Amino acid sequence: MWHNMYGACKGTVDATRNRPDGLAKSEETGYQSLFRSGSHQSCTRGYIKPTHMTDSLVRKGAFGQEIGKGFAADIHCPTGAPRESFVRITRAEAGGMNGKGLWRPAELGLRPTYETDAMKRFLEGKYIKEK
Amino acid sequence: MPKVFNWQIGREMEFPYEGARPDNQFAYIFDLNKCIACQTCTIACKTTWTAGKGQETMLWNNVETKPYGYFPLGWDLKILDLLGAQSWDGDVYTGKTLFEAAESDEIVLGYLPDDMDYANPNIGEDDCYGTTFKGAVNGRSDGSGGAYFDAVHHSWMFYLPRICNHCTYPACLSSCTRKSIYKRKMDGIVLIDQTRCRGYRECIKGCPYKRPFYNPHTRTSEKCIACYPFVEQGQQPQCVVTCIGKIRLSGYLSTPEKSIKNHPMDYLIHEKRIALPLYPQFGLEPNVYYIPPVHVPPQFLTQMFGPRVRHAIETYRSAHKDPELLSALTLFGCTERILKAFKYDKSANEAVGIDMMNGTEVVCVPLTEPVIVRPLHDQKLGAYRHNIT
Repeated sequence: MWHNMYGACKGTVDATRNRPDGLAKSEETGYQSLFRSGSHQSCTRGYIKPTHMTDSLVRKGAFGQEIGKGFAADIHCPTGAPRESFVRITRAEAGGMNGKGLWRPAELGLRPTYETDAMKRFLEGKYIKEK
Repeated sequence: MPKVFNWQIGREMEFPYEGARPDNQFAYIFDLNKCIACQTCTIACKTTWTAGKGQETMLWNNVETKPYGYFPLGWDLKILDLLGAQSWDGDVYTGKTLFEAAESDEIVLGYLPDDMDYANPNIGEDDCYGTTFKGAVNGRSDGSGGAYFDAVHHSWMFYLPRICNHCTYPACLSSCTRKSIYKRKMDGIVLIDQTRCRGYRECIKGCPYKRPFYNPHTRTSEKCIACYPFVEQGQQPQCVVTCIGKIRLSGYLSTPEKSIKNHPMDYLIHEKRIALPLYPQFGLEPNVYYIPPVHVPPQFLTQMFGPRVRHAIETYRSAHKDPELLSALTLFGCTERILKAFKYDKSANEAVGIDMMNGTEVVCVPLTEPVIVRPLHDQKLGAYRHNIT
């Protein structure tokens, strides 16, 4: 994944909705993202915490009982990786070329649960015998 | 065909050319127990050598997850299946090498990958084997048992970093009909002469490790050059020195009968036999050696690294009791210079490395990292510390 982490931007998201072929390629810049939306860690939302309204909203301090408002490091800064998230996964299309059939590596029996007999022999180390 | 001796399979074998070992053989050791597949080596290689036009799908260095990762797709499964099940008798390989198994009109048994086989360089990343077979433990193999934990991990995977093996008996060189590929006498590095190559791709078909890559822009094949401009100056290659996990060591390797005990490469490969070649049964005498991952089933590792796997794992597991072995392992990734010797300094409890070119001491590394505790309150700065160790 980290070879090609081309995240989505407004131009690519618009392109997926407006282009006839649905390609995530920005009309203005030609930049093409790998993702229809978001990026690598998009399913865990952002790494930096959202700051909606807390500039003026009254909030409690992270430690103790102090009530205040405005900037507080533990509320507004990235202090750790997200601990949990809810993810909903839906099927976009079949994995094969042009949305038909299995993804090629699965078709060839090289993916988990799709293994051919040869792949099963490989996994068990049966291409070598010791006397 | 002439006969040559391949020490990795413990016997003579057929090879299309007379055996002529180089004056020195450049080699590598990768410790698979330490690799985390961060791909820093991959990117270091990519930005150094293959950022040009026509090189988009090339990875002279890649790191794949075993068993479900491969670049190109299914490379080792395909050649193992073509070769068929083979056997070892102790340290002697009694099966057929790829040269011996070739059809009568071919030099080496091989195949040309499909273009699409290069489409998924990081396929299978982090995929474990053994997670999808529910109820396989405690004798219940019908799937009715469900998945549960019984204190033993049944699933496994490991990361396999791969580069050109700069083989002693290269299949790419043997199968090139234009004789464009040569093995340097001075260091055994295998190179493709770009002025002679016409891009027939016979080398790609012949190399079982699939390390030569076709460049559709120059219409020639290209491969890892072992960073020879560095090596000529006594410096280790980019993939070795940039490795953040310090899993790699490179240097010159002797043949077993000429092994030098205090040379780190000879010591780990010949004396301790802790680092093993990748698929020695192919018969190429590859020169990248791997310290096998200790948690993987030995049967799979034997298929991949030969019958010395159990000994290597046992030795690695007891390395903490052997300061000399620990010294050799500690020097991985600690200097850019190629070493010709190492020693364990008992009084300082340090590993010491000696430069290949000028014989000076270039690095010393403590076997036990010193612990320094600083006072919580720094009087000079008038400040408290958050971290005192």
